[in-house]
Amino acid sequence: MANEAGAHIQEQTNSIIGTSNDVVDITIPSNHVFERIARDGAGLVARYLGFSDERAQDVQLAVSEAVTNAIEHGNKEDANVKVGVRFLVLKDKLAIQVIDQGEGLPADRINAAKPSIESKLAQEEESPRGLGIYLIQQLVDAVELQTNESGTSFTMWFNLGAAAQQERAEA
Amino acid sequence: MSIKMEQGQQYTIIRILNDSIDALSAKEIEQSSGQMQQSTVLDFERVLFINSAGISALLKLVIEARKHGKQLYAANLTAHHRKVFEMVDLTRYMPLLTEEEYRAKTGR
Repeated sequence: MANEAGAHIQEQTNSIIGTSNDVVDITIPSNHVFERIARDGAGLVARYLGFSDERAQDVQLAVSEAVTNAIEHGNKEDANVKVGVRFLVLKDKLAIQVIDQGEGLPADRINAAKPSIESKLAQEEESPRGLGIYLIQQLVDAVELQTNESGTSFTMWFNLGAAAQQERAEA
Repeated sequence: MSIKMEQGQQYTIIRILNDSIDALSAKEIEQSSGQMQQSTVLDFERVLFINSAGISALLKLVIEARKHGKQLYAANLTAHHRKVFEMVDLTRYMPLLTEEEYRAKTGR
């Protein structure tokens, strides 16, 4: 993990890392090619934990959205600046943190209202974006945004189903 | 090429060959808008992943279609992608075709 991104992640996750059995870190340059690595890693971890295929696809999409947001809005697509993705496997849930080194976001960003597609179409927007955070909200069991002038951290929580918890307990 | 165009008398089929519709593949999909006919079907059979950057590209196709009074349809979506399209109301503007409707519309 690159030093700056690593230090930032460490600072953000100290409170929960002690309760995690497994921690996986990925650090990628702010280039959309590498978003695919984070997304594929998310799918792999989710399936390993026993998430259904449908739920694993939810995890992949939520991670893709958070990483895309970090690349575009956090790190301004500067490939020299890293995005950190940390997977924390807890007893009954999977936590995934996506951390950028940007200038921070408005704290109310996480409570984004449902975007109006009709409005985007009516205005014939050149770049009809803004769906990512809304999708994250729909796909996760819980989400937390921490943001300040040195970066933004999205933590997304996905509950393990009863069957997956039992499987992990017996492992 | 990540898309393949098939032109019929009354319709266009845009087959998306890339398995991901995301920020990397969005441009090529947007550029297919100039080849849409009155009725255009986007075939997602080979698509395994779509994120909001990809949805944005699809919205641009919808905008172009509406400008010119054309109709866009979606075919062969996975259950997951159908769910995501419904979350953002995209199915209102790009109705999903059943297999039978797809065959009836395109003769395939």
